[in-house]
Amino acid sequence: MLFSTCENKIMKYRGWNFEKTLLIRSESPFDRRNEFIDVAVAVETKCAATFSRDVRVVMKPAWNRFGNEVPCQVYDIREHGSITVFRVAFVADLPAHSTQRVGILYDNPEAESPRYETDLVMSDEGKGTTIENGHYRARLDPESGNLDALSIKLRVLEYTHLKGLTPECNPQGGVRVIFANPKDPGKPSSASAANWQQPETNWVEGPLFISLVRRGRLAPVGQPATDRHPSLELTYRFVADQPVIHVSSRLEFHEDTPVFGIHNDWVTVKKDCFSHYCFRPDTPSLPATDVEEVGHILVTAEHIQGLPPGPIFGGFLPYNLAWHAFISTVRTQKFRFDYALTGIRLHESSQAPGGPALHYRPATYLSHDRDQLSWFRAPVYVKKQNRTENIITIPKGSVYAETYALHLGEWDEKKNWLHQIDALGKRLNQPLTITQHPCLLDDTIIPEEDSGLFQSPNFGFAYKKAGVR
Amino acid sequence: MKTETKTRFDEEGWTGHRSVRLRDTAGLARTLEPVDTEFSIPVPEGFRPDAELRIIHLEAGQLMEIPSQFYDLTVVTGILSGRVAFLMDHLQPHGQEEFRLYYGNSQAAPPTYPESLRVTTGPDGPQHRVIENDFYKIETMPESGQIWHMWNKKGANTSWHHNEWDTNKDKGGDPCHWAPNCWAAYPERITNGYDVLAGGEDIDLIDWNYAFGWRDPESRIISGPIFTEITRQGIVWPHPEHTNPEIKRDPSAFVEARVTYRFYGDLPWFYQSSVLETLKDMRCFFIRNCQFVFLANIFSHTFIAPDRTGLLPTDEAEIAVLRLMGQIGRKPYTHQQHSLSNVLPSKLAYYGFYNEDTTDGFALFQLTEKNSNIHQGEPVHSNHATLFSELPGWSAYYCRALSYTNQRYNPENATFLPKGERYEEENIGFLFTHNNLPQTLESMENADRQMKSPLEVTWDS
Repeated sequence: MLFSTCENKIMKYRGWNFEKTLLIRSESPFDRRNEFIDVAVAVETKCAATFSRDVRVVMKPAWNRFGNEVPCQVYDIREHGSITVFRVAFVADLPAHSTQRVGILYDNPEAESPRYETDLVMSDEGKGTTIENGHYRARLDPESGNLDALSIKLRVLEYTHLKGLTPECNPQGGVRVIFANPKDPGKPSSASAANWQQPETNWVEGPLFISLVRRGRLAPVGQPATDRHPSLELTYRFVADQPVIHVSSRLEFHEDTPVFGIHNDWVTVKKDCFSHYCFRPDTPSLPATDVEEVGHILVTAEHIQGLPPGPIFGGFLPYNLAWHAFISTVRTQKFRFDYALTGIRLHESSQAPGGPALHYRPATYLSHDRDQLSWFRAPVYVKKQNRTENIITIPKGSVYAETYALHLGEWDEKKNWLHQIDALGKRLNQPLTITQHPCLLDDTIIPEEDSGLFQSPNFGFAYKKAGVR
Repeated sequence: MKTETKTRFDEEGWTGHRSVRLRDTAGLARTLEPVDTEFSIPVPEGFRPDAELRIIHLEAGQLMEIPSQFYDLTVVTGILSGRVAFLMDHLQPHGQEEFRLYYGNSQAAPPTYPESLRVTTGPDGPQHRVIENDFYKIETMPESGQIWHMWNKKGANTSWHHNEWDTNKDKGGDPCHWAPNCWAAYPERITNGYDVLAGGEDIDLIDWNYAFGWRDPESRIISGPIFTEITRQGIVWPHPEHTNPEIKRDPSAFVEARVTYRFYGDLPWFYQSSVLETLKDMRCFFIRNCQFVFLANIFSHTFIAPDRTGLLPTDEAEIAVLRLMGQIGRKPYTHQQHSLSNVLPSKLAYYGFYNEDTTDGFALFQLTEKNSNIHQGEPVHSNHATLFSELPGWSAYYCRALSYTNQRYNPENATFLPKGERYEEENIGFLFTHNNLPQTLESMENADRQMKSPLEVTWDS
């Protein structure tokens, strides 16, 4: 990352006419280094003519002093009459219980577009878009845009070993709806974003992150998508220099829909890449001074052969697990790395008109089939998918939304990984308080700030215990 | 394997009979279904219950006498009341069968039925017994009477017990039936500092109030040709072998328990129940029941079937089948005891273990879990779940935990329990032979449905 070292920082920013100051408050009792911040800023439209190249983000040690400039990424610029709202992303270090002052400089018609170094690279060699940073390489399916192949970069000294964790040419399921046919209940049909063909897409590309938003309908395989089918919005965000991919989904039903299942967060990996599935429960009945115990299940191909395909651990794991992971503890002479792929829950909401959305046997499921392992979370799960009486009708207007962070990291038997993941989950679910100053003077109504690509995290409740082991 | 014991019955000379009709209402085919029902009959003075009672099955118009066991008998003003147990050979789904209780025959001699359950007393203590049928051999602890060793005679026929403490290795190891038990918490007691945390043997912050620490508790035995039932009860004092007598402690009793086993001669399973009650206000780090502990390398797999609560009528629950890590040393964190902590509900349909190679199998069917406070109704217990624990070279077990803390010893995590907390359980322990997974799962499902769908029993008026 580029950090300015200009001695005379006031001189450096001559030419910029305006600054918004952000006060970023961290209530966390721990330091938050390399915190990815993504905030909406509102300014007068007359000052926003050259946003695409003149916005700068500068750390401020005092109200009237400029510190280091940090790389930023401006996106989603929207004009609302005399007010323009844009989003800006940057990275900052926030000590525990601190307030960081950050200057957003803008309106400099002479400014040139900044150039920031980044490890985030996007390429397309015909087999689908590939996005990689220093921690992973992700390839997207050329048809659906779903995550297709994911590899972790394992480093030792000057070597980097690329280890593929997921099956290739087998796009991740993501979100799946299993439709029931009341006239012929023995023939359910499923639909997932993996079946999409060239859906509506929206890319944001910059030095700090690359995001892809896709929208489409989920129609049973073989049926044309219509407005009556559920709509799905799926978002990926790949962040520079961080071993994390953010994944978000929003599924909405536009008419009463008979189903046998709604499965979210499908993640499929190669069985021979992992040895265990592990998860961190949230136990409300434990006192806050107690610790949570992480659960473990052996999933090596050698040891689960002979089990019937399908869920091998289903129905027991809470729907709202704080996080779960596939881990590799297969340390051999030939291959000395251990690693983990973790899904950290950030947001869940489900509503229907007049109340909460329907749930039936909501749980997190671990499943296997041939050489693959999967996890998924199901707000609605029916096992016997051939009986009329087991059909669940999802009311029109129901919405199921989820966000999680897919983390790729090295595993170790000394529990460093375990504590890092728990700390990351706690951190990602503890939002910062950000205010911007000065306020706008007139009564202009600024559209309600959306939270950018993702909903605000709401799994902080899961991290209230004294720790994890 | 049922002993063939039916004999033709001649009703001549018998004063009368009452009919009892058994009906399957669950649509299940029944085999060797134990029947245990209350009855009452008029009896004259001088009636000899041991000789003048018979259970007769009507088979194609023939009266066939079958083994029966009458117990808990009392006579009040010419009416004999009590219970009778017998085994019903088989019954078709939705079928019914008629049995008769014949009574009153002054010439009848006490019946003799072959007894397929052999119960012998052992030499090592007042509660030392060996209970054996064609399916299993079970040995109880000499002093406490808890199930100590278990052998699956149709499987590997080796004892499944584990060794919690090295000191007991040469003395037969530690019991398979580990509960009910209670870690009474005394976080203010620091007589020996925190020795256990530094590798010491015991710690003063707790007392082990374990039923297997009983010293010859009050017991009651019912035995006969159908079953032998052993009930023990009494105050559960701190375990004598794991209690430092020098510690200052309240000498009054505060935990009481009752444990019952019932063993059938012709069945591969046994019944077990327990009640644990707090007699005064106390603190604990946990209380557990429903806990059978086995040596880690006895079984290769475990299975867990959830309760059907909340399921649509024709939907099914997923049965989890997991490879045990403790058996093959594949725990990712080698010293973390629980593989499944705080995710399994306190009440499951059943769970079990099997070994792919030796064919040994054990399943535990949870019939009842009932927790209350006899003074205030609702129990006070907190963290409450089924935990699954396994450690290489040590043990594998499930337990139902009440007021469990993951951070043992911490004073702030001790749970206050008022007087009158009462935790009850009823289970079936089933020893089986594992041949292949589909067959095992099918037989477990059938057994579960059968155990939880008792026959409808109707006596004539």
